[in-house]
Amino acid sequence: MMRLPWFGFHAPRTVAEAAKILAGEGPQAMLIAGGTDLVPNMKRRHQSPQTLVSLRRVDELKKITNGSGLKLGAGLSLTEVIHSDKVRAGYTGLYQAAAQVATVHLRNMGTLGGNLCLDTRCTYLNQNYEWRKAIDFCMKKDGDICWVATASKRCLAVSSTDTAPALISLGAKVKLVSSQGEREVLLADLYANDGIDYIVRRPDEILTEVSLPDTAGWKSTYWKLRRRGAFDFPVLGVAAAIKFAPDGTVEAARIALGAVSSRPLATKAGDSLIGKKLTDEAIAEAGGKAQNVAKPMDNTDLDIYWRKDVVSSFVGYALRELRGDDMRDTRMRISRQAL
Amino acid sequence: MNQPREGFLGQDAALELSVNGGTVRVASPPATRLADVLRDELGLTGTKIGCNAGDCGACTVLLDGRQVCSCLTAVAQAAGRNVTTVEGLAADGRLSDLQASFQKHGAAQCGICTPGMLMAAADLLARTAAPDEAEVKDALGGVLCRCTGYQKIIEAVLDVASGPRPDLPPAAGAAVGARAAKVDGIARVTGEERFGADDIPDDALWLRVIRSPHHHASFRLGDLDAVVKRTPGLERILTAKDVPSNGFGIYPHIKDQPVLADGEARFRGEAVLALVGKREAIETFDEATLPIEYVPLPPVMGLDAAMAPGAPLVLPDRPGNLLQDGGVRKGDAAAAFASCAAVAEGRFETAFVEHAYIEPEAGWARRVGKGRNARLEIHVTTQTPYMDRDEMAVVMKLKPTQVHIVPTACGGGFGGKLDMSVHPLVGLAAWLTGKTVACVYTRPESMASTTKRHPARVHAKFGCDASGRLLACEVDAEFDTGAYASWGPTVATRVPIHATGPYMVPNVRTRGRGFFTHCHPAGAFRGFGVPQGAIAHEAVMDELADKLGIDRLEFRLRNALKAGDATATGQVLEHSAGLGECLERLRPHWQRAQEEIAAFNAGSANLRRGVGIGCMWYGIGNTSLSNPSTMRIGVSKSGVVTLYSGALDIGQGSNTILTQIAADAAGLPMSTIRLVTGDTDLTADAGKTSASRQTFVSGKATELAALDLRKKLFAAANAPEGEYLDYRYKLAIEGNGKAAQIVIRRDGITHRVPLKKDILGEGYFDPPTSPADADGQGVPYASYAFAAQIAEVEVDLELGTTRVLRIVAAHDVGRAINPIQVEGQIQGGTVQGLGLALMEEYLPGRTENLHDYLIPTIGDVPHMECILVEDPEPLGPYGAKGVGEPGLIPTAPAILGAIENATGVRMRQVPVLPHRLRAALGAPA
Ligand SMILES: Cc1cc2nc3c(=O)[nH]c(=O)nc-3n(C[C@H](O)[C@H](O)[C@H](O)COP(=O)(O)OP(=O)(O)OC[C@H]3O[C@@H](n4cnc5c(N)ncnc54)[C@H](O)[C@@H]3O)c2cc1C
Ligand code: SF4
Ligand code: FES
Ligand code: FES
Repeated sequence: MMRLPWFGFHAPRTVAEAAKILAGEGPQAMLIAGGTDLVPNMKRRHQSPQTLVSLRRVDELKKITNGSGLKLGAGLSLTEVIHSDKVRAGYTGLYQAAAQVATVHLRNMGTLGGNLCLDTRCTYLNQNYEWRKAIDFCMKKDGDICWVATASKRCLAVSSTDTAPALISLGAKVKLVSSQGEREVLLADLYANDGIDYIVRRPDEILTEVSLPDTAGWKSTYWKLRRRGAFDFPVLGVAAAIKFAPDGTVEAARIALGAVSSRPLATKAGDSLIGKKLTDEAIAEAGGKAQNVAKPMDNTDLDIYWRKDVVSSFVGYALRELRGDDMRDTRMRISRQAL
Repeated sequence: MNQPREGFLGQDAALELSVNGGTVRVASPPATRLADVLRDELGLTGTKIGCNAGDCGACTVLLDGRQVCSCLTAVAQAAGRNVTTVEGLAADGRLSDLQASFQKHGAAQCGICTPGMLMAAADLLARTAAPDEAEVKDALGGVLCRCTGYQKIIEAVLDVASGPRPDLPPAAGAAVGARAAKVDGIARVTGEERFGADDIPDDALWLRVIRSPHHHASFRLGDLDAVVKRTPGLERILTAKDVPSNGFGIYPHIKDQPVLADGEARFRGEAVLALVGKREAIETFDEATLPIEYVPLPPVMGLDAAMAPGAPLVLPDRPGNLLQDGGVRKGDAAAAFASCAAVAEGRFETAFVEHAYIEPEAGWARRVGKGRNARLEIHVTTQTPYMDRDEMAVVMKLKPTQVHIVPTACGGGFGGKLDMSVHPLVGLAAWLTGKTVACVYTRPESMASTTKRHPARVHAKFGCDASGRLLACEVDAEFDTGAYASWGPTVATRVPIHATGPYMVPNVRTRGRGFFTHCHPAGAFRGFGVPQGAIAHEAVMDELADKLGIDRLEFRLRNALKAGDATATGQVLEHSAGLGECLERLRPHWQRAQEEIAAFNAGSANLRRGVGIGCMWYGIGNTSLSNPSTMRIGVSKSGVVTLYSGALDIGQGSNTILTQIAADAAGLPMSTIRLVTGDTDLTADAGKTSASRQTFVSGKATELAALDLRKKLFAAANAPEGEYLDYRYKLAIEGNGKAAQIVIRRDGITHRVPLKKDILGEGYFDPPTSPADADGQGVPYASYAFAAQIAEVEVDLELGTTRVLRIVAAHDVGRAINPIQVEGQIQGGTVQGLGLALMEEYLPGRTENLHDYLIPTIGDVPHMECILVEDPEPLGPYGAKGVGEPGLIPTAPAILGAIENATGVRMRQVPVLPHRLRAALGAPA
């Protein structure tokens, strides 16, 4: 068993202080929030930072405030996000996504910011060092080729965050702060379709805040597919947010998919719904479009063809729920949670 | 680098946290995992490590009152906060209501998951005093249990609100049949129980195994001495050359598995070298710097490759890669088929299945004494201390008496801890270095290197007459036994015997063969191949019943073996064949389920429900071999009653059951009986905890021992001979120390005699069996357990997913000595059967951890109802037989039948993963 070696460990109290340390230490320093992703990854030697900068004591990252919509600090635990009445009331999709991450004890530690920055995953990667060495490593860490598709020039590791698709469908922006200043980016633009460089955040930047627009007229939802009733990373996530006219006509629609690409996939499948009511035909059409762009890879649980085949079903669940169908039984069956 | 770099921690200089109410300063580096700090630095070993990756929840503790995974928490993240561990639950030596409820409900079997479960539940209860079932399942969803099937855990948490107290132990004479709490249960709920990794001496050297990264490779070793020289803290590197007799194995005549591979590695994960040294040195040692030169060779993977004509041989002395060819022949099957009104057949396939006990293998050894008196003492998690002792003696070329096995508590076995794991490695290292040496497997190591359930290919064909009576059976089962024999021969002989299913079939021709491949050895796993065989015979029963238009339950009832019938091996069952009663008791459930399902399906397009039934029988104990047990119970001069049991309780509850039997046979209250278990110096050989045999075999030996003791006590008290069998005479041991007395009372008259010396009773039982003849005819087992289960499932036709809604399990156990334990075995087995049917598929080299190999969580289990049928077995103690394995066997067949009932599709390959079912349903691929 690999023990974690010595690290420098900083526990600053403010974002400014943290940003200063990051700038000073350079890329060999990494942020640790809940640590539920970083600690196992360090143990498997995916990341070997020399210095850890903990965000746990930075109180300003744990606030929930009203802006034009809602601002959520990146340091909120997923449990805190789930228990926020404001999130539940206005951002159902986010609530449902956060509530389906891992297990209670990981949600108690894991943070919103950490979930958005979650490293991409792969069966050939999320293994201990000896295991990886036995296959002579892979492109993402210590090696040259990609075992998922040996001809691939890029790493195909899969984005596995649950909250990112939900937040993308809700039109969220995130604030990135460094000692140089701060910038705000649309969450959808935070990610790149590359298993290695999956995030455009610079190493010296701290994701401090998620801001959500006002949701008057919008409804949102998140559906997750996983093998078991707990624990597992998504093998498919479907987030949908729709703005309805009072007569039920769709005015705007965003559908984002998780776990079918190296980034959370913001699709155009929602466009086909605009100006229509959510009829079964319209839902099927959007489902088909989403399914076409989903590219599950053979690097996580369950058969890839099957995972692609069920995309339209899951989009169907999401849209039918937004239409107002009673989906409680289906929800219970799929996620074993009444969300 | 060795000083805590405290300055980095920010405002407060020291790394301080509060643990269970007291402040502690921590010297470990800030990024050390909290679990390691608790266990290694603070000695709080109640917190367990099952995976070190967030996948099992055994390490769950409370951080500021909320459950977290302590293996993923850097200790600095806990600085200044309150940590509560299982050791902090009991206040002033009094169990909390939660702990008491776990003890009362039998919620802890092996107990390795219990601390995590308790902490998760404590978090919930602090917020929600009276939670509902959904809340309990949600809160406990992050903790895996492989033993209980979760149901008793859920019941225990739900019951906390009522302020439960464990019932008082039953009075003398009322122990057998009582729902008595576990005699060794308290330590499991307080975190005091010591498992393999919990008691390692501080001065121990550690051992790390270097394993083959290839399925098959030859290898050459370079200068290892140079490595030792240049690596501070590394004391020694063990190789094949160091092993006195480099072969071990279950069978006395098959010692084919090397302790350390000798120039050729035959499976990925096989031990090649062992590093011995200071813990930090060997843990941080970079394996890449070892001079090992591998030449990968083409591996033989899977049955087709192993059986192909001219296939390369896995072991040079095993032509055709054949391990064993077993079979049973009775009557003339070929001729009988010709006269059958209906014939059905099918070919079925199963995968490797991992035991996935939550405790990885662990233990330590030391050399005790000098010269000719030197002995090797091994503390290890195991199911079979005596076999370990004898195997260690072979490997080390010592006399068995020179080996002393001290079993630790065993955090789950299910057959996987019958084979040696760390034992020969730590044993050898301790013997050679003269120092204490410890080894704890990591989760991936445990999964890659230890045994699995045999993948099987079973072809089964049955025929019956027009009234549905079975006439003939032909079964051919092939098993992938991996690189070494392990328990393969047992599977190859047990399966042909059981291949008829629990039915009367006059003409039988069955065969079981095991083949070697370049995989980890397949070994013993709850049922020794019988679960794989049951999938086949039960599917064929369904088809025959359907062909003749007979109800599936009715069809089985018509053919059920009953007392007076002859089995496939020609053994006439004299007693205790309760399958008929199991089926009768299931009938109302079967009818109810069918009605409910018809009503549901009528109103549903996409979801289809179905109900299925599975039956099984299972011979208790070793196949056609003597498998004796010796038990002792004594009263010391000072009045202490002690049961000396070599039978290991690995969570299944035998300590409690044997105490109940001893109590009633001796006529003493359970609460007065102390237990000494497992230690090969202090107890007698009770045989392995396997083959569901401990209640039956050691239970009988216990009964005889306790009777012997009672007789001797009566004699010491000068009671007339024969009177000891009359339980109207009440026996008691009163007073202690010098004042200890034997007291015998009847009708107001009291005899008192001082105890002048230790008095020991002994019992020996070897169930009567006879060896098989060339056709497999004989008496392979003295007694058989029978069971039938009903599964109700719901299939999503669009997705291909299957959810099990409910299981009703009827088991003939002869006599339920302790119904809580029996139910616990059934429920735990059933959930493993569910895993076998729907989820679990071990892929060598791919699923070596608990996030790629998925076992059922609390969210995956259906409601289970147990019906205990008691058709007494006169040979067994108080009529009891065994139940350890039977719980698992009928489940997968029942689920597969239910899927067929729901969809019309018969799945012939398990696990029924959704893509397989969807493909079978004809969805576009
Ligand atoms: C068994 C298991 C199951 C899991 N299942 C799921 C699941 O179903 N769905 C899911 O989405 N996740 C899952 N996770 C992953 C993880 O627990 C969650 O994603 C969690 O939210 C991560 O948050 P954290 O605060 O613990 O991140 P950390 O581990 O602290 O950080 C993760 C990464 O983000 C960086 N980071 C953290 N915070 C910031 C910040 N504010 N600014 C910039 N960078 C930052 C870190 O440097 C690190 O690279 C699972 C993990 C385990 C071990
Ligand atoms: S996708 Fe390819 S490169 Fe990326 S982690 Fe997996 S195997 Fe490695
Ligand atoms: S040991 Fe921490 S989750 Fe398994
Ligand atoms: S009692 Fe839960 S794992 Fe053994």
